[in-house]
Amino acid sequence: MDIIGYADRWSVVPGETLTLHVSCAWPARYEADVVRLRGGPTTRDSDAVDETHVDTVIDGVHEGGPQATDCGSYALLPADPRLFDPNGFAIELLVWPTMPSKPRQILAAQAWKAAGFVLGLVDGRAMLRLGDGTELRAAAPLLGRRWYRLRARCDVGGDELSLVVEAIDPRDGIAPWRATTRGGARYVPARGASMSFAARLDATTRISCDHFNGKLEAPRLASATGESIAAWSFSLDMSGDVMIDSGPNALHGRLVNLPTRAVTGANWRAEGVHWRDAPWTYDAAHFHEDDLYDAGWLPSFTWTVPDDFQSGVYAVRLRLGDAEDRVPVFVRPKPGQATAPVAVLLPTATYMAYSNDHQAFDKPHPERSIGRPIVLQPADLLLHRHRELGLSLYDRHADGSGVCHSSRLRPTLTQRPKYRRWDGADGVGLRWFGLDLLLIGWLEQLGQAYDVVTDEDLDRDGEALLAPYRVVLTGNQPEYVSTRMLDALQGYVGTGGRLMYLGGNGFYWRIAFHPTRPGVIELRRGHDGAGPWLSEPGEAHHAFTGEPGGTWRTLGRPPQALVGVGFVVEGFTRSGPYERVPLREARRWSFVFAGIEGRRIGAQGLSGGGAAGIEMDRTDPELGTPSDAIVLARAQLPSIHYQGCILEELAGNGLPLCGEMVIFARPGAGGVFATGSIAWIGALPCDDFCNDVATVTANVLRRFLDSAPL
Amino acid sequence: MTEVALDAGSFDLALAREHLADPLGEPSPALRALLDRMRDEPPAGRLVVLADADGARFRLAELTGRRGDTPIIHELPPFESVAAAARAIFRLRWKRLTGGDLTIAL
Repeated sequence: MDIIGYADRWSVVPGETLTLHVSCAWPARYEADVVRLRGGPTTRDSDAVDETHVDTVIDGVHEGGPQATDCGSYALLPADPRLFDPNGFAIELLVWPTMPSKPRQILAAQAWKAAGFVLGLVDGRAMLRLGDGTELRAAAPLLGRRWYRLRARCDVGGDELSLVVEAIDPRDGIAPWRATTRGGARYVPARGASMSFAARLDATTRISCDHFNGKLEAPRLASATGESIAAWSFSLDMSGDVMIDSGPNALHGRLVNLPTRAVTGANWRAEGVHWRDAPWTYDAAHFHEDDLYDAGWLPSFTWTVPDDFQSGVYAVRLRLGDAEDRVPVFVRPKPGQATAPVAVLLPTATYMAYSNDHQAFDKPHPERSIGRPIVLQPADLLLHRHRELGLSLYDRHADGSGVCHSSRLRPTLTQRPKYRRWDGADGVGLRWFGLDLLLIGWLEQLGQAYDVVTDEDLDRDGEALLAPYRVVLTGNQPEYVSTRMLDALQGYVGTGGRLMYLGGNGFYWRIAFHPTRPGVIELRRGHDGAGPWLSEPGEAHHAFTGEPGGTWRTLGRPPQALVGVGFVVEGFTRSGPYERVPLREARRWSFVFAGIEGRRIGAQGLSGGGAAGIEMDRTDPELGTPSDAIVLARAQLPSIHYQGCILEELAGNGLPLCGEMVIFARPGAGGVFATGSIAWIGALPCDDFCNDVATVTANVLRRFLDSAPL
Repeated sequence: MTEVALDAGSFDLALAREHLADPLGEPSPALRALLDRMRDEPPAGRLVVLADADGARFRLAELTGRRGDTPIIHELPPFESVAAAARAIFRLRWKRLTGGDLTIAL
């Protein structure tokens, strides 16, 4: 993959301008054009996607080269004369290191060549160094995940340099360490230099380096005589990217790459578990060397989507020799100008959640869950080698803490049309965006007009986005859902909208979009659910919104209440068929199986060899499945590799693990059809889209488009 | 994750034959127990399969367990199917766990 790129947005309306950011492995001329995607790969052995070139102004050759990614979070203050006392400085902060053994970590720096100072950790030992090379270094390394107070002081007048390290938790029995030098040191303020916390900027590249991993709290800066210059806080403006200075000079800092906010500080005693209830116990931020919000690449070119562009799935295709990348672009209609009765709600929050994950490399026992070898693609290897392209919500940071932010402002190489996934079940191996392209292919083959909209649009516009559409189709795994998204979907179905949930594991985790920053979601997993990590104690509330995190089930809004079914079981080996069950109100719902002979549905598929599998949902009346929901068909576990999700084991109602397909009407002519299986969409293309799964889906779509009450 | 205890009988050649005959198929419970134990590899030394850009050839590789390290390509020649790679992985793991080569042919 010698060429990769990203756009500054995934979803656009005609007339809007996209900025593309492209990186080549070497300085080179590359080709770019736009293709419309009308389907994904439908065989294991072919990478062919159904795409057609669209003439646009970007067609042609562009100049490119390697782009650098500024990965890792830190705080930055521009150079300001008020930051400096020519006679010295006093700086103090609380620190909770999570990787103390990392050789070099910056806590605070204000340095340029032989001027200024650096406060940091060297092999875990606190260190203060002046620009002239004078250095104090603590005798012993700090322990991981313990709070310490560090105080450093340089007094030119008193000709004294001192560093004090105090353990906050007396249970550790660590005596304070102090060192002082008198005479010999020469301090010169770095007047033109910015000041940073948790990293420093490389003097040549201006890229951050020597990142600190861990929490910082309450940095204070004073003059040599102790007069306050700044007192920064992390408990104010929790969703913002400003490190607010409540001192006399209002020297606010900028937080880069989303350090985790709303985290517990040194004095947290579980007096409150919400940062709003006890903000004085949440005055810390957790910095990671592998945080990333915006890759920050230089713009390569722009593209204004022509006014006459149809809504649909497109990609900007980048080609350099044999290498290529397709950057997805979802063109939605202009507000209030729906162009079709059907909308495909692309689950882009889920795309973001899984973007650039490293589970094959880092997760324990990944092969057990898939029952066959892990097959890695070139994109997997590139992401592994280039961790600076950021992590997914399924990863842990280098310091072991869970990743709770994911952004689309970077190349998201696991969300590409041809990306084959090691846990994509036996077959084409598509997941997420790639698998949803098979739904697009089915609509195209059917000749059904459709618009595409995205999760990000739904979070922003709410129910009004869906209101113009007779029917809304989901993708294969709409797992990550914000409150506004869930409200909008419930409102849509409750006011006459008809929802076809064509996936599994849907509506499972609560996430939050940032209130002002585009293209990033936050996830606080809480302490339950089928996830790869748990929130730290006291850190289960989103910083972006203040909402409690976790699964919608434990938050009291289970997916069963929206779509009748909810996630219970997963396996990544093979999929199986559904068996029809005797219908209640058979005449009313017989349209679903019109043209279908036999009891078995979906015995073939590209996602595991059947329509029921990978992750499956079932009904549960106690969790809100409507009493009038009709179970249409049921799927047994296709393989012994399937396992119940942890919530079922901890808090299940003892119902058998299986997949269930349901349908029900809602007051006001609304309706819901749910397949409860990720593999469903993978079964649509079989036999050139002439199969029972395609027939059932078309039967329901046709009936849902008919405005007659269900 | 439950650790699967295996005794010497778990390394039954009949299980090896079952796996080699259909390495991507549904295993018997006894074979699954053996495979689960074999698949309990930490990231350092984990055997994986690398697909080439065309998805036509597959090489075995070992992860180092360190973030960012390129996997170490195994000396075996590339395979033309995932099933063939799976058989080779099984033989390598058999040797890791028993100390002896799996001599049956398939």
